[in-house]
Amino acid sequence: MTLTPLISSFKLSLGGADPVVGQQLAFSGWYRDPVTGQQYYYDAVQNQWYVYAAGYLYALGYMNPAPKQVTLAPGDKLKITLSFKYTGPAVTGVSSRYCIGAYGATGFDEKIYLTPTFNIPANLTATPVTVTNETTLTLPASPGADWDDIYVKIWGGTPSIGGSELSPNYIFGYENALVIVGITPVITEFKILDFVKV
Amino acid sequence: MDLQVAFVPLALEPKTFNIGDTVRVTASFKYTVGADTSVTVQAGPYHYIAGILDRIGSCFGSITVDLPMALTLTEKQFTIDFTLKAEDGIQAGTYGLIVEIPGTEFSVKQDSVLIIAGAPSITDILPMLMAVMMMGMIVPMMEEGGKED
Repeated sequence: MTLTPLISSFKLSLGGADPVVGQQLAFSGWYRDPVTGQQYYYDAVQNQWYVYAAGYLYALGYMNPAPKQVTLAPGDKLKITLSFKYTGPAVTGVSSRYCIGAYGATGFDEKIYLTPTFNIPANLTATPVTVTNETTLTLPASPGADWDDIYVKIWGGTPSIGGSELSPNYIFGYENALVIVGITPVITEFKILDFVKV
Repeated sequence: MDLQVAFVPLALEPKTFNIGDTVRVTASFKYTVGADTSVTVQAGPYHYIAGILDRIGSCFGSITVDLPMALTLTEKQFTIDFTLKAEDGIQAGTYGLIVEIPGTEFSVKQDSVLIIAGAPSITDILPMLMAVMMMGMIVPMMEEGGKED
């Protein structure tokens, strides 16, 4: 019997945020945009869309609106917790990449990241169990004001959960999750209240 | 019915001062900053020359405002004194009041709120003098034209 890792509902938590669940279709398969001709693949098991380009499948729409914002100053630490539902054998040495950066039209510009590995305990029942992992990133002395996005991806391990660092099967991020308060003051509501002779 | 409400800062009432007076300005702003720091804030009179804002810089007063680290918008109120000294270029007339953080875009100002009392300067009365002089030239010409008829 072959036990295949099954991961679903991959999501991130910034200290207890609600999960974000995307649109889910019934069947896996290839889909084609009638306007652009671009081909997409939908994995119904993982509830994940992929775009095909240059021989690779890239997870599509992995960035999501953040359910909340966390304000950070230079030197502050941000703990990111990921969680997912899992059924399968124990997996050791799963690779992960936790990033803070700026997400835009050209992709995710990583500014701070850590790449820890972790293990997934076996779950040989039919009911998926929740697996969590967390990492803490520290802001440098002069963070950019636009470092307001985060994402995490996981891949590999023994046995492998699939994917690779460049084409991970499991990737999830939040846009505008952070408010970076830098060392330069930001001033608003500047007003003269009164002026008198003294 | 669509009710739209906009909040606009109250305009300052113009006040009259004399040459030599010290003016105390109370101002405030809200700020965020990721580490303890401070900024220099200055205040003083200005007027316009050919439409360009001209600070009477010699009259300006300045202070250093400490800004403790604040991750959420925090109000800071402060006072700045400056003296209206004739030798610094201030003279009778009407001036605006500006409070600003030099080298940044952060400033607030209001035109024509500092009325400096005293004898009007030549620049203040020049337009009136020119009008009187022109009237003096035009009236005799009109009278001469009337005599020819």
